[in-house]
Amino acid sequence: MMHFDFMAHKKIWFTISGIIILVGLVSLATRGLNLSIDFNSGSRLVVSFDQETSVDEVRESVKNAGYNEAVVQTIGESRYQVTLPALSAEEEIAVISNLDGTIGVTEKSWKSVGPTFGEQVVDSMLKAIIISWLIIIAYVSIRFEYKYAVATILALIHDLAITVGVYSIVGREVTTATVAAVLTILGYSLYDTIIVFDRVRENAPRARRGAYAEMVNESIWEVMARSIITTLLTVTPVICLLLFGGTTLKDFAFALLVGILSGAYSSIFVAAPILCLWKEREPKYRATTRGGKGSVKAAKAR
Amino acid sequence: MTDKQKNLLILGIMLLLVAISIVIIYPPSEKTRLGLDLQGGLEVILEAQGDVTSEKMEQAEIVVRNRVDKLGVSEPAINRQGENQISVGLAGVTNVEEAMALIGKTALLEFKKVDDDLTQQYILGTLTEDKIPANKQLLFQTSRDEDGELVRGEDGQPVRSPVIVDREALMTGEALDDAQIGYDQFGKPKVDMSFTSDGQKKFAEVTEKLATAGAITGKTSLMASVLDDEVISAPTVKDKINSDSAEITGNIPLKEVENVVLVLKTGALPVELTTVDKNEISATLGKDSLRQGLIAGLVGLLLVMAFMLVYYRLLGIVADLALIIYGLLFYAVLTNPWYPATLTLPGIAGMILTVGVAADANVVIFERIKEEVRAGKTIRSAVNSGYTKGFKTILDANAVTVITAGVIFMVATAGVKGFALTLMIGVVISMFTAILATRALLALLADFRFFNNPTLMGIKPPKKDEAAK
Repeated sequence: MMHFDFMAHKKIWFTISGIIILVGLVSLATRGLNLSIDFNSGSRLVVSFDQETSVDEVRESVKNAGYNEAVVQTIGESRYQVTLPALSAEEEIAVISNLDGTIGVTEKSWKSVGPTFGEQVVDSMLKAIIISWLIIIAYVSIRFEYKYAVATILALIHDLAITVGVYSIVGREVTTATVAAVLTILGYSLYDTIIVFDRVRENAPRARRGAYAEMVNESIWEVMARSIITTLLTVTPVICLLLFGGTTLKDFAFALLVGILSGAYSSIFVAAPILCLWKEREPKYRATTRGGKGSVKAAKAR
Repeated sequence: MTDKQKNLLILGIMLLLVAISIVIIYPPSEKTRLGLDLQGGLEVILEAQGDVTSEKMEQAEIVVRNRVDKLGVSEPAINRQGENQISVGLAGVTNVEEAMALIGKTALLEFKKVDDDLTQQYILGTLTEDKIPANKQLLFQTSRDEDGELVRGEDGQPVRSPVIVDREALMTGEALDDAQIGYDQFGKPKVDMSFTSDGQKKFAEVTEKLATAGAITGKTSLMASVLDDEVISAPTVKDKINSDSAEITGNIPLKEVENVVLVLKTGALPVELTTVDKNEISATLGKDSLRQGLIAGLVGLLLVMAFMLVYYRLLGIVADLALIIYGLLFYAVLTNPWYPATLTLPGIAGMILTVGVAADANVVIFERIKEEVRAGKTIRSAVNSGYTKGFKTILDANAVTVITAGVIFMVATAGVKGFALTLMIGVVISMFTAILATRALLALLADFRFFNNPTLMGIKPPKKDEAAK
């Protein structure tokens, strides 16, 4: 049975990825990331009121307390989020008592972060990523082969670049929860790539001269049902989080959604073609005549 | 042991584990330890400034613990993290302002040598602030009159007199054993401090050195007691003081004395702590988050189960059963009485995500089984070879996930750590249930005649040309 030939259109996939990553990088360079107070230091108040209140009223009250630069957002019924520069305990009390005096506060939550905290989170995350990549390279090299490991890591870098890029493009806020989500994405993307590569490894002995790409293509089709179903299965709960979760969970879910989709894409359209390009250079698989159609069947024949 | 006995044994063990899990979990609302983000409360991360030793951090932690105990919060979570941080979690604390004021109070008591020469130069204006040497520090002492009232200048502002001191402290509050309110012969309040035996020795040494230096140079030696970078008093030191107590005097009003005593009593910190992260969540907001998370999780789980059922039919029932077992075991591990995990928002997200991963193990295997059936194998042998082949794939894929989660757990900050742990536990348990349990169950089912029907499993009967291949 003939299937759509993924490997033959490598250039298209690489171009698509390239464009998305490029747009993301440009956005990153010009707009940067919308880093939350987790990284910048600041105070954030979530507040709700016992009577109906408008954003303007909240803004006015905070302004009266002496904070013109506060960002006030609605986050649900009569619930607002006020982002302020880092405040001392006394200053926080001043803000609250002002709101309480003018409108009447029922619920409040404060989060305030000092300037060094975000750096630590980023530091530890970068350390985690680099160390885990090294270990992954080692593991995949042992269980598979060095070239598989490099293709896997490149796909991971691809997913990381896309997620960061998309965050910059849509301007969603990056929090420490996003950081955790990104780490998970890397885990998921890895998992997905390994499943594809596992099939490639299994089928590899059957590949003949010049037929490596066809073998990879067939392998991808063999795991296609699984890829689609699993992506659906993983994305379903994530979409539920996006729909029903609170602010934090939504943040988290958005990063996961972007990453999972990118991860599913990259295992087929990035990792496999890269592996293919590289392996085809090996004498064992190097084609003497390119594109012999007959070799598809030859490769699959037992 | 025959295969059948082996499978029955596995299922028996599974059932036993499920029973144990239910006992552990029930009733869930009492057994689950909720994080502060889910039940409301106050979480603060304090960071020590300057040079710290692990010994000093240990003392600082004890001091913080003492202060928290004064608040009467049940089960406070106080932990050291990293080299120089202390995290304080107070569940269900109501008076956050008071708590913050007490915990966050830097309360760093130091005794510093006053540089009288420079101070005089500064007062005369021959020394400007930017010319002060790096090893010296400009501090201020609020001037008070005999009655302890603030002295106000012409502009109505309190007068603050400058004091230039050595940046390096002669000794710190860690030498202190206790503090009390005392009164001098004129009935004015003062702070009485008593030293630990080490502190007494240190104080004697320090005062002796100061007194000797003063005797040689002929100048007065002053020693400032500095609390939170504010000079409280700067008495002259004429002799070595070998006493287990000392006092801070200087027209300090009673209220102030009470405050100083309270912070000194609850322990002066050996290092300066600043709040780097503070999270205060009201109980309702926490409950809202929990409810939203649970709804999202439940809907997600049901959708995943429904999909498995529709797509894989009979196999789907088995997979769904495995998912339920997975959920129970997972939850039981989290709420186990020996080493219970604290459920946080990112933790919930991690759990929800592992549902997809747990289902995937079955998807990989079921797709294999379908392939084998299409290739013309009987269902029985397809189940067998499906598991053998699928297992290797899942092992490799899960191994790398566990490795990454493990690395994250070791390296990352506290919040992310919990998430990594959830992920790791989830992956390991899903391997256990999705492979062992479903395999045993399917192998047993395969003995029944009705089982040998591809359409019951969502498998289209093999086409002739493919089967021939």
